[in-house]
Amino acid sequence: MLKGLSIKNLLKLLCLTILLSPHVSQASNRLYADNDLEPTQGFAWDWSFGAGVYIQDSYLLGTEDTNQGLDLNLNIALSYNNFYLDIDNSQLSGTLILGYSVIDKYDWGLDIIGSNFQSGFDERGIYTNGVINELKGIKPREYDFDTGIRLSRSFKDTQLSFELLNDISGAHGGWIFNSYLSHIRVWRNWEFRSVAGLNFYSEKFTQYYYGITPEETTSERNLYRPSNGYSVLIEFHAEYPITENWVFMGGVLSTKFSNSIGDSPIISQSYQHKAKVGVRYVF
Amino acid sequence: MYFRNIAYLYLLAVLLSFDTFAEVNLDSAEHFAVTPNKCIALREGRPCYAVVSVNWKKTDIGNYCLRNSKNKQILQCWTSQNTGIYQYEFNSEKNQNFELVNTKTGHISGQAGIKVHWVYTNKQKKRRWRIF
Repeated sequence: MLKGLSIKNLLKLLCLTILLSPHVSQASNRLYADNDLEPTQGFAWDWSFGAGVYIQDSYLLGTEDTNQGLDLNLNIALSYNNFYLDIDNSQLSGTLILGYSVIDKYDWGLDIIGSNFQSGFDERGIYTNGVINELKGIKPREYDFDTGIRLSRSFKDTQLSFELLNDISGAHGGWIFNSYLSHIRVWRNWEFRSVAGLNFYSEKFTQYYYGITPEETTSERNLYRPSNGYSVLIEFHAEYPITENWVFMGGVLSTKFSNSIGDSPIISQSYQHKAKVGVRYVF
Repeated sequence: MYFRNIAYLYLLAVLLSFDTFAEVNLDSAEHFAVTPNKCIALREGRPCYAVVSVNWKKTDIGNYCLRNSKNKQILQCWTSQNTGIYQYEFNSEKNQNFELVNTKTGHISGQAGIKVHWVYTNKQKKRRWRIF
């Protein structure tokens, strides 16, 4: 997920910051569910690592129907007053987020955020296999990095949020508008999270990733200039504490793309499913 | 792939076995044990759920009552017994301790409890929701 982002130097800086920090939080909270907590002042951080197995189908033409394997990930959460950084890939919808909390009152939140949204790919696909015949000759599509604002409203264990983001990485340079409705349900020691999302993409986004330029056309790959697009996604995620440090987790994520994406000559299907089970060690 | 999956199952089984149950020495003449003696919930402040079993055994037959150590609430009594089991569904965010009392002498002959732990504690700054 983080491949392609220039985060090496950022991580070095973060590690240095951690080492020099006088205050180290020994505890950890994870994404989503601690929305009742009040922000603390000053520097705080936590980290964990996870291991799991995943399976997902590919929507890129010519790639194998399903891709599966072992996933190891290091998760870091840092905050300094209103600034925060979350790198969390333990769950399927996890990613890297840089943010600044502008408003955090009365269950309302307004944040300035930066995050990777779309994975890059080239004629070797997403997972850097060998050249795929069906994709041969396409230009590389880079990972993007989008910045913008997020407005969120919490209702106890439910949250509604809207994001307006613009790519600043130079990949597609387009706009993305996201809306999410999340809910957390607790049953005994289990925690179940569910998310429904609706994302809109500008023409620049769809044309950069899914369009076919004249240079990329072949006898079997026609010119393609998609219009705006959208996707609908739904995710279920479950966590269960095994010991004081180990957590079991599992989840599924399904995404359905609009026709402007699904009709692309380099797309084999207009949907994608992912599933993952694993454990996380919390320090 | 098959062996890798088996390895994951073994890993899970080993993890599940960590500190889940208190040891009960059935060979000793007397014992008083709470099983499990540890309950683990995901987030701090959230109630922890567990099916708890309190086992006791005495050398002398007598009348005994099991009660909550803190509020002294009687949970169950046994008449003319030297052994007993009490099972219930624990669902609390606080530790709970038990004691066995001889109703004739008032002597407390055993104390044990269940302790609540959390994986994610509340020392970190509020996390931001991000879905994709």
